[in-house]
Amino acid sequence: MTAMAWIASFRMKPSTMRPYSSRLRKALYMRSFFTCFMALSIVIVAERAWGHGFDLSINYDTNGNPASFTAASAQPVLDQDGATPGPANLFLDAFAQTPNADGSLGTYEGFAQTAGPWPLYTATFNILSPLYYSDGTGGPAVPASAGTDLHIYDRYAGNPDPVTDPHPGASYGDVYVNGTTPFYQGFGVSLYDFHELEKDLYIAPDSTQTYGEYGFAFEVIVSFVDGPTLSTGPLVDIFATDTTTDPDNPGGFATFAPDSQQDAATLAVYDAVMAAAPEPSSFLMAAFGAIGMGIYGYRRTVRRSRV
Amino acid sequence: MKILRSVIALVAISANAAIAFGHGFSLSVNYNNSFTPVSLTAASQEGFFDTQQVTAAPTNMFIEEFSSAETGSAGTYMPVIHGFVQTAGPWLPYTATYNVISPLYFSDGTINGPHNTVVATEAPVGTYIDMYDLWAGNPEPTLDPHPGAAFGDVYITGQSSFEAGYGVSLYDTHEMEKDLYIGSGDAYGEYGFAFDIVVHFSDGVTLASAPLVNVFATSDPNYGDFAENASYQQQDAASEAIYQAVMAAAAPEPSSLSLVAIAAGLLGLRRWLNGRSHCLA
Repeated sequence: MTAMAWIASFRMKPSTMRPYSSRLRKALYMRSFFTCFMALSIVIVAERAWGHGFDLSINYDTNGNPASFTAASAQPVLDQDGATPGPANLFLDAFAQTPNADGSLGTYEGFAQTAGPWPLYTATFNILSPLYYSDGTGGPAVPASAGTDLHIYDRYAGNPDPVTDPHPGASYGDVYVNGTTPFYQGFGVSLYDFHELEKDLYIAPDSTQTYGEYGFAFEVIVSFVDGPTLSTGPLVDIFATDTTTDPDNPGGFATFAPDSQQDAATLAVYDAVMAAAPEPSSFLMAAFGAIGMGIYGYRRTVRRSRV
Repeated sequence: MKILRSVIALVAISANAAIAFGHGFSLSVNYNNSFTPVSLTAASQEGFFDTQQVTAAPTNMFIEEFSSAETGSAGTYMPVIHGFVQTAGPWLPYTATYNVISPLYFSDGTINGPHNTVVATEAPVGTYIDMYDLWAGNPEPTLDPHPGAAFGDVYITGQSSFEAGYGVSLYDTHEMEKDLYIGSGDAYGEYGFAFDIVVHFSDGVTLASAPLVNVFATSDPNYGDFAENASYQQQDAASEAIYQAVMAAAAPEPSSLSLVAIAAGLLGLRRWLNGRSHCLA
């Protein structure tokens, strides 16, 4: 693709937004207020270790078309001290040390942000695995207890601050990652900020999985305006419990567990979620690719036979 | 050797830093109807006046803390890798550089000015920040690309109001290492400076960001750990004093002035060409 064609591909589509009804507008305002309140409370009380997420850059083919992604994790490590390197598609961090007002453990680290040149796009994400847990004391990771889930939503849904802190494409939606559902469709995201998605862990009251690490796999799907649609492949987020106000409940795993135990927990969760990540969208894209190749081959054959 | 030093520094910081939050600025492009870049929006990921994140600050300010442990084979310094800039959203192909556009200022948030005010002071001679690119030479082009990251050192002192930077990738808010060397003066308080980003897009447009302000609190327990032990009101006072000082010093960015001059020249040329074509018609 030539540079001119590439630049021309940046033409904006006409807006499809319609005016909201007053009732819906009120609901959106309430939702924005709640989101801001939650974010502010987390910002005020959180003491996060390090943070960040995945830098997502594009690899182009020889024609200048996006061909694949490179996702560079800011924390591809197996423990909070960064002592042991981990796989490149792993991001490790801890939940906030102080629980949210409703008792959940919050974090907004671990998502993806664009890096470098990017053509116009829209983006979404999918959850590719159940929620897994390990305390690093041996054996494989296990699915999260019944009743435990990780609530994911976009902190900038509706792009509430388009001038000073833009997040175009950030959408309303809720994803609840639990120990049984292997695939969960996400919603529109902006990729303007690693902190775009809030993740709040609700541990079931009778669960004993309080001192350890939780993790899941997800992918980011990007549709470029001038084509193609690409997936990042599985990216793994793992977060350790780190509530230090009461070391036994839920734990302070990130602070108190030795590196070797954290390493074991992280690896166990990583292996479990990667084994469970069948990437439906990748299969779908592979199927589309195969069909496209078939049509191309058929047309070529027909054209030759006509000649 | 430089890459090795950078990697060691990065690992050391990761291993012993008790950094509260981190990152830097998300930099997005504003386009006109022809999809020509017209301006840049920088959103700070820590727009607060204190490291306890109580008081909101201007959107062009980023506050963090230096590592709690001093490092130093080449002298004793306090490192931090937060506070730089990463692209966000659609971007045309580009090259980028940066400039430091203010002296290095210090404040501990205590009253030291007229009418009971808190005034930041320029860092004393011998105290400086060494700023360099952790990814110079793009050592990991496949797994962790940073194209355009160049070798170089910028020394930010209390005496120099402008330092030209070098090529940067804008692929990572942690791209730039900043090491504070305290020759004389205080290690209990905050240091800060202003910088800008200059981007040359492939369509010929060159844009500069507005001044971006980095403020870092010292957090070494051997020097009292300002980030941990100073009240947020004292931190607010320190951060605000530094912010006011560096913004006042950052006013006439040379790169912006040259951009304005180029734009004025192009407008004049266009007007002249228009007039000429009218005459010919």
